[in-house]
Amino acid sequence: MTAVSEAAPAATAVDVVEAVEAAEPAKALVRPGLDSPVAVVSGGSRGLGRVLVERLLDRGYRVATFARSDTEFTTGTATERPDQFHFARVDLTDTDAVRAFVREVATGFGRVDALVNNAGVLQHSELALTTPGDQIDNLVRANLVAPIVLTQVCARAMSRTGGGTIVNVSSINAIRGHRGVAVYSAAKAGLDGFTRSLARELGALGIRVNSVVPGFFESDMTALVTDRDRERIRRRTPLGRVAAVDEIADVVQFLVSAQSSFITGQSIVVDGGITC
Amino acid sequence: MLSTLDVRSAVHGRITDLLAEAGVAARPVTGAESLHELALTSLLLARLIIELEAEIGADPFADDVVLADISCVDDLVAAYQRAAAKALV
Repeated sequence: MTAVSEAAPAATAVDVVEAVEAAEPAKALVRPGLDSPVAVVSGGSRGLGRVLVERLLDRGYRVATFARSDTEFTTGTATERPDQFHFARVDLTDTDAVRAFVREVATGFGRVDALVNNAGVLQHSELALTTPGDQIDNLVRANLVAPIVLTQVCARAMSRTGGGTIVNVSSINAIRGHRGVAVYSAAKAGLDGFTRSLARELGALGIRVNSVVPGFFESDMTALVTDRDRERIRRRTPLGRVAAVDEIADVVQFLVSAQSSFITGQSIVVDGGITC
Repeated sequence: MLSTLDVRSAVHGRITDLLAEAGVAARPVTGAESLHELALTSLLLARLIIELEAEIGADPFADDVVLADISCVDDLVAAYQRAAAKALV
């Protein structure tokens, strides 16, 4: 067993990125090479996932992401940054394909330092009493089983190179009840429980696990919210507005970075105060 | 892919390395010892499985094998030999 020591741990690829970032905060800071850290982001083709991919690329990470289909962003980035960016079409609910994707990334890039379980599925509002069985399976598989599988494969790769960090993107539906999203809420609450227990298991391997619990922010997922509901959300939010996607990405980025090196097992709510 | 003998050697070798790293007094692994007897904690066992997956290229526990059914090192070797053979098919 590794002895507990007060000495500083050996510098990792992530530390190197953070050190350069601290010295030159205004630039895209590290030219990616074989030693640069690797991040896996699920659902990085658009929305919050896309913003995270862009930020990680600009900070010198090599980034692997997947989604059901290409977008202009994934195609363009793969052309512009072939050594730094990898995209594959993978359906989140196909756990064998998700597992194979990470194995391919770990072999191709040689390591995995960060995982952001960003992808999620929220279908039209449906009362739990009348939700069809295959829709229940699909919601739980996409929002809970897939992140667990992805985490298991990534954590194994992280343990081989001395550690890493995992951020799960949860939802305020995990901590407050909302009509019509009971199954989604159950899956997201499960993800938060997974975060806490996993942090206990993986701490000894140098892997931190946290979740970000966003409130309402501008995204494809919240595009279906009616104007009336949007106004109601604004009224109930102490800060009086919905979040911009960058405000959620800031917190995810903080949890990925070495600036949060002593934070694990936590769920950070970013909701403008709507649940306080 | 490793041969049957290589799989045995890989399993014994990784166990010996992990126990040494954990500061457990070294002794030769024969195969008959229970995992509990060897003082393999759950964390060491997890690391063993992760390292063997990389070395052997197969993980029997990803499919049908349950860790609770593995009582001794020989059982573990047999599980990896089966998984390695299956991976070749």
